Amino acid sequence: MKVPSLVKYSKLSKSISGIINVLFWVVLGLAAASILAAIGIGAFPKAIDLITADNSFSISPDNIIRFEITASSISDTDISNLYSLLFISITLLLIMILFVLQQLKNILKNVVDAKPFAKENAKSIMYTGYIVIAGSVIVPVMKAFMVNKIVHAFDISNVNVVYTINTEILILGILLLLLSAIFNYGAYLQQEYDTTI
Amino acid sequence: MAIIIRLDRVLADRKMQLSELADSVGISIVNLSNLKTGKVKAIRFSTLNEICKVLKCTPGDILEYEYMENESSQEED
Repeated sequence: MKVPSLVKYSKLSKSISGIINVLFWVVLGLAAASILAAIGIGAFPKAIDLITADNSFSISPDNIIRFEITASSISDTDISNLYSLLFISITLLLIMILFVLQQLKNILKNVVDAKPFAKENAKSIMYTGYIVIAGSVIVPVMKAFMVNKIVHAFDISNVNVVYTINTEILILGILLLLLSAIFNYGAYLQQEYDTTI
Repeated sequence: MAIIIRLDRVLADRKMQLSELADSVGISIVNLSNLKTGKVKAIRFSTLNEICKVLKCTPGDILEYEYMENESSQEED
């Protein structure tokens, strides 16, 4: 059996590693901006005009339903709190994404160094799995909480907020944990191979 | 482990350096040094074949088994 070569995958890994590096810094910047926005809106609610040009307020916590509220309905409502909460949710989500990107960076670095079955890779995949599982629970909670806040802030009637775990993401997280166990075994086999002359 | 590597003895008998053997066999001097010091976990038959061919010896000249008391008690457990 011919020994498989990692050379072609090393080049691809280098390219993807570069993209992930850039993405990491972009997400870090966005997270920082998000924190600053949350603090800024919370500290100086009157400083920023959150009403859109057509005299309405618009927010979409889940990227599916967009709430368009006219200015007359929100005159007594403090929408700055809602925006502050939205930016805090975005920050939490971005922090989770940053963590996953950092693990991806670590994995790709080992792949570029032709060590795909390094023990550290198994750990990185495991941590990613845990974050994804946590995300499948936390992200729907954040979204449901936001929508609930909006519904109560504007007294929107006949609306009930339903919270469900994102089962697809949960299953993905569990599969990542399984993959981590496989990579752990791979690391053991790699060590056995490396200490065989 | 009860397997003892006598590579240094055979090299001394043949008046050969480790680096020379590594070049002839086609493995790195690091790996050969690990073999000499007993740090490797396993050796392929192909590698053993090449070493014996270069050193003009038998595997028994390089590998020795020494009975160890604690190994037999582990088997009983």
